[in-house]
Amino acid sequence: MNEGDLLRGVAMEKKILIVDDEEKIRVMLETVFNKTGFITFTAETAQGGLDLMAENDIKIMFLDLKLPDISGLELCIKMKELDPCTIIYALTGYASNFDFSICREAGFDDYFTKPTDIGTLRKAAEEAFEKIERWEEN
Amino acid sequence: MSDSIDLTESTILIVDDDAISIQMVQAILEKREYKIITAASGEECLQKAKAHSPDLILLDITMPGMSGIEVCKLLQQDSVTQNIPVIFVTADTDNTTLEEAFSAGGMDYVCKPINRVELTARIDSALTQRALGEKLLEKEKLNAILELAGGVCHELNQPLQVVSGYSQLLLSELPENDSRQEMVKTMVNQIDRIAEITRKLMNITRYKTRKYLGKSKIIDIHGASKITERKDNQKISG
Repeated sequence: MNEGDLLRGVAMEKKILIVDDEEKIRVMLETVFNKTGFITFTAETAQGGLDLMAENDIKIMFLDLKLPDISGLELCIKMKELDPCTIIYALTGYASNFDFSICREAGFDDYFTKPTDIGTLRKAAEEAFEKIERWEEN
Repeated sequence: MSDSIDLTESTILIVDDDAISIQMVQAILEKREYKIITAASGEECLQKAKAHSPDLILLDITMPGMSGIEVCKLLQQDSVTQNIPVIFVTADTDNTTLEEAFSAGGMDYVCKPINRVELTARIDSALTQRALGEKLLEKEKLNAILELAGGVCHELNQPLQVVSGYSQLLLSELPENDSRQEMVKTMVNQIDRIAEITRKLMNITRYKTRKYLGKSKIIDIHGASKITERKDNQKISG
């Protein structure tokens, strides 16, 4: 982290949204991300996620594909429609080649299968933040 | 999975008390690369069918001692031999004989004297049917496994993510010379190993088993998965 980063950090909060119906996953990820300077918001349902995204202008999301109300795929499509300048990651319990291309079609920027190393998730969040910053500058 | 069926490696058991008849059939089948076994009686047929599990049995109906019909009934009663297709060879094509033959479990019949074209056509048909049936069964087994694996993995991966996340976090927060580092490192590695297993399960592409205890078998996860190596993008980092 350099001076520029610190200044930017003040100007732009590193907000991140986790949407997963499992409480333990939400709590664990919140702990992991908060320890690296993110402000983590969590939601149990897709609608909850949409509400938090609107209220807090969040640009970085991790979505589970299996949610109680609408699927993670539909949620991603909705979120990208509301704000195309978001980075949305899938974090899902099941993986297959079939799922990956469907996710890309829905607009997911990347796709992680549980369990993913926290280092990988943090790196993805940091990269997302860097991109969003760059977009906001332009 | 390949869609073409290769019948050349098929094993055919020819059963006839008349050695000349057997030789004639062998001559007809010479051009194909079948593996041929022969039996001269019903008892020998049963014994060889159990021992060799042929892909097809050509069974003479009229034999001294046990008739072909009786042999077929006994083949049907044994789980090892009940799925082997039987083509009867008979000089009697009256309705009674044919009815008995089919109700005993026969798949088809050819008349004596044997017509070369007819015999090879019926053999091909029976073998193809058998091969298709086995393919279908394997496909169904594989689908059932994939459904089970998918369901199980999805459930396992959730708690695995939680445990994985916290143990990696714990490792990163322990001081470098802390004696507990080794224990937590081991936890992290073992969780990684479980994760590898669920990944392999989710990528099973064929039905492959291995011996377990006694006669029981279990799915050979490592042999059945298309993932043969550990994915390197999942290295442990703080």
